[in-house]
Amino acid sequence: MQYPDLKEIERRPRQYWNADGLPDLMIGALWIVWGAAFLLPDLLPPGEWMRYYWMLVAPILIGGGAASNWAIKRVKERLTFPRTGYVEWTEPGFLQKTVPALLAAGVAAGVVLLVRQEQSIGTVVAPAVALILAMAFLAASVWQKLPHYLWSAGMSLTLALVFASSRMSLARGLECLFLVLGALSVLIGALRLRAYLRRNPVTQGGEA
Amino acid sequence: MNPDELRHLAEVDRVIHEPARLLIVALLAGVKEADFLYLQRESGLTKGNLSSHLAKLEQAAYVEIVKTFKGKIPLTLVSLTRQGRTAFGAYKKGMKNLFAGERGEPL
Repeated sequence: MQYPDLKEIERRPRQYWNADGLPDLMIGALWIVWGAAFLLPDLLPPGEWMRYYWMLVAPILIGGGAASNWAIKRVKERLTFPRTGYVEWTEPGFLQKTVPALLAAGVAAGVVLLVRQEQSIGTVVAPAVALILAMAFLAASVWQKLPHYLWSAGMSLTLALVFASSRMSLARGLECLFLVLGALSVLIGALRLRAYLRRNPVTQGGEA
Repeated sequence: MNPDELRHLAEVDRVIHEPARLLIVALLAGVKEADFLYLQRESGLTKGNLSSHLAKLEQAAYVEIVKTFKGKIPLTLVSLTRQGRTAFGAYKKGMKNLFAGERGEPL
């Protein structure tokens, strides 16, 4: 007797959320902004502003995650939902939202403090971040059945190897990582969005 | 199949057990709410068929249906009620036990 894989069916809305390429596009744009934030201090003349730069930029970068989620929803309302239907996620609870954010902020602050004390640690952080991202992409690709994440996983792994062999500094490594992964994600997202829009023209009449 | 397993089989929730309704409920289990268009595309059912199954699920208080408008276009929002989620959880558990007894495969 063949029984349907209910877990696979329950996972479909999550796959649907990624089907149009918009999350890749928006997250890629966000990563490019993050990469640019690491690059900017090198491009501008040094001065007093450098002391306040990260105090101002860090909250903007952290808030960028929420802003990109908001933007994804707004664009989906115009492009995706009228074509293939609307879904809304169950909002995670307060603890589910805040604990990972606080944990990430704590780890980031810890890394910054460590690097300030011992500069050489910085050369290990960039490859480590790239490796963790590669594993995260691989996991998302397998568990959520999203094969296009394999490209990002492969790129992250390549960058991890490049960073490890070149002993790139923390700022250079993160700048390079976010700019390259951001550009790749934007490219993949744009191609997927174009294919999705071609496959699903807006149907006139009927339900929204 | 022992008498206990046979009893479980007889007690299965028939509202959810019907394949089309099982698909609808499983799709809704992963979200807060979804619209009619999404459910229709994902399930492959016709409008009439989907409406009929949704009506049965609503009758059993497993789903809540809100009819609204987005601009001038009608929008039907469907969500699984607390009762629906509980029933789906119980159904999965019951079937898992049943199938585990038969061949040990998880649902």
